[in-house]
Amino acid sequence: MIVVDQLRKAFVDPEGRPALAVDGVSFSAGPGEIVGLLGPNGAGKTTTMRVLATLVSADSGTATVAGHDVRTAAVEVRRSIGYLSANTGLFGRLTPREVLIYVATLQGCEDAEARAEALLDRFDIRRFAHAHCDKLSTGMKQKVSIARAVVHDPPVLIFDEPTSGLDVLVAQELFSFLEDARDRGRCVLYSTHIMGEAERLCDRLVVIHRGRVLATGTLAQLRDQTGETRLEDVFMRLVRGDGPR
Amino acid sequence: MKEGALRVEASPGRVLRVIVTAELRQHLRDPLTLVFMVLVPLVLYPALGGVGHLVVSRAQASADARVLDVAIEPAIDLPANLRAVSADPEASVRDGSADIGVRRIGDQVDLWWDSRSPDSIDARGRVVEALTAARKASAERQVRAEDTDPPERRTRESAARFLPALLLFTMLTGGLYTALDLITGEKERGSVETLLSTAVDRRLVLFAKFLVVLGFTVVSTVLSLASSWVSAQWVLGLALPPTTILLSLALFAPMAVLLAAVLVAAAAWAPDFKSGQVLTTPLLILPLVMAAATFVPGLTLTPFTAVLPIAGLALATREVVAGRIDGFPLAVAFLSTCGWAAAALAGGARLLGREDVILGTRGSAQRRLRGDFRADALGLLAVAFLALWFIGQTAQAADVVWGTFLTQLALFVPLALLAPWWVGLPVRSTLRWGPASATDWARGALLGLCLPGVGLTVQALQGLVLHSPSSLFEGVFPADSPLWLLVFAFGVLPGVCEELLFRGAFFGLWRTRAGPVVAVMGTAVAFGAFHLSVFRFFPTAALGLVLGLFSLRTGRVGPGMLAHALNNSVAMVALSYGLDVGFSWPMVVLGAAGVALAVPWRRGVAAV
Repeated sequence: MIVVDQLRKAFVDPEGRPALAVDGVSFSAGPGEIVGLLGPNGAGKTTTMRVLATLVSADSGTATVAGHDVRTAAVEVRRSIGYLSANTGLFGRLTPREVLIYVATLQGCEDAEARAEALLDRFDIRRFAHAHCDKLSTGMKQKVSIARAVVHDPPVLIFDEPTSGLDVLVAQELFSFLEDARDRGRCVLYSTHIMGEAERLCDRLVVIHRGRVLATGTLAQLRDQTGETRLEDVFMRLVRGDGPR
Repeated sequence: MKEGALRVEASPGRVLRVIVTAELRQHLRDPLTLVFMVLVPLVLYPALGGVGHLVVSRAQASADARVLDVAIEPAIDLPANLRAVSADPEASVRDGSADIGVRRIGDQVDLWWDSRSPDSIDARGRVVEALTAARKASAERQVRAEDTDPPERRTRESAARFLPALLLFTMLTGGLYTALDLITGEKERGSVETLLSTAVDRRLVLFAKFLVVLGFTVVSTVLSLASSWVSAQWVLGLALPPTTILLSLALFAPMAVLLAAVLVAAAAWAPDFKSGQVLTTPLLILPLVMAAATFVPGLTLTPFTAVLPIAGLALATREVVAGRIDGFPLAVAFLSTCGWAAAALAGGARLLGREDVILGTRGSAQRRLRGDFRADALGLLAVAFLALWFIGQTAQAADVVWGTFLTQLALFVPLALLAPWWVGLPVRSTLRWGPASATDWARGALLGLCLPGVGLTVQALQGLVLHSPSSLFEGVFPADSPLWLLVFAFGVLPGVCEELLFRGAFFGLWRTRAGPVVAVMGTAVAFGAFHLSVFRFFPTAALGLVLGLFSLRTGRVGPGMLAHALNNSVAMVALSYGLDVGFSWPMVVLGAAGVALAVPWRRGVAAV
């Protein structure tokens, strides 16, 4: 569902010089699996996901999502994904119901209103369906954002640090939703720098640091490679450059 | 949850309608929209017009009732609002003991009055009226004076001059907030990313936003025109034909497209709301300055002036409202505005295609992190310009000396000091405030004496292509003020305060990411434009250039202050003594010497 090959993307750093945010990243993710992009802040996770969401274009390399090239078939890619990041805000002066109907219509859902109603129940936001989004609590806003991202029931979910600022209850709801999506054959790309989340949720991990992929595999494989038991230690060993044993 | 949502390919028209509806819904739920789009054109403008009319009417009635003193020889019967005083007509006006002096010798009538005094001007009108009446009464040959321009047409002419600027201002206020909210605000709130991550062509999203901005611009204009129409009848008693209003509206249609495209592009370019406000402030001013073409004496609508952006259409609207309809130049104005609008749309679309622009990855925080304060420099200029325009000019109109004191000390100096502090830069080093060497002070003094040569030479060169008035400063400075006060107010103060603002704060912010020479040139252009006169632009910009180079040479703002102050003071003394110094070769040599003194010849001399 997601195939990334030698992706590169440079930005201008605070000194005004070009800096590689993503430097030859390659990985893949298939249907019915949750792949975690694990890395510290500034590792290149968000840029990689933004390239996959066609929000920014890569300088070189290729990426396909659900068989569509992000460069040449951006609209088809966006139709195939549910994208959520810390930057994807809600329309503050619309209600959750209006947001869901609006996005569902843009995503081409024929039954936009029915989809909106179903998601209001699924995420338990019906009580606030008529309030403007900017009046909602952080957790409630995030629930609406998740519902917005999946309103068209896409085959690929790209979630960039979706639990930041969430309390444990809402985070648990999110995890159960993602596990449910995996069970229904959806491909989930999930970025985080929280080891516990990655450990609980992800079937495979892509450890990324300073724009480069340091290691890829299941948690068991990474443990074997590094000789560490706890994911935090695995991660530290990889990031410090000790590398797989 | 139901599995697998049914998907259909939405047509571009449907997508456009859906986005426009959602954008409208969001924008109309913002209370500020109501203020900018409805209350301002429908309530504020008529209210201001009505209050202004009331104030002017009362002031006129009060002035009419005041008894004014006339020193008249020989005496005639005067109306009740004029009082004869026995004194020499000319001397009494000069010493202020009479408002007007009249001497009649046979059919010859000599009048003395003071054009700076409203009472004196008023007295002249009353005396001319009384003399005409006296001639009638004595059966002398009547001097017939009749204004062929009926009062209704004069009122209509005044309305025609004001209306284009009013419409532009309404359009800009209506469209500006909409553009900032729907584009810059959405970038800041992150919802633009939500929209752009849907399966919709990005161009459709942007076009939908453009349509909404255009819609608000048009609605504001229609409301403003309707309110102007009603106000014209209610306040001025002027019945403008509906066809005039409709024709004005039709003329302004491409202008709405032009302004909406420019506003959308500016809002998209701005990475955040604050930067957007700074960036669009000049956009609010520039069109109004161009629309002020309707007030320029002698500037008429011709096929050539019609192609000027904004100014051409403003002149065309003036002609339509004044009742002078000439098809060809009107068509040229309309079509050329369509052309400008198409160019603005194309430029805007090109700009909006850039991902860094759309996603706002060039945020002000990032710019500041990189030490780029050029946008802040432009913001400073915009704020200083507004302060000068609305406060400084008003104060100077009331009293030119004290108005200049206020402008320089209470506006320019605080702005210059606050700007670096506001953006978090060290104030002293940004302004390059510090002790300079004795040599630099001596150079500054010499440069100050040479600078008049620069200004006069550039003015003479400008005269080859642009005919300027014989004296730009005639009647500007009060003749009855002591010379020391004039030198201090118009020489020393601007020298110190304007250097602090331009070669200090503006240059200090601009040079953060521009090379020193580019920053000097940018500062010079800003300095020239700041003097609010087409005729003074090039001479003052040239002075700014030389003073900028000199500040590079010395690395301090102080010696430039001395040079600037001396240049202005020399000019004040020359004006006071009536010295008419025009172009001459010695002046060119003097100017060249000034440039030679200012240029930092050795690489690395500039302490920037």
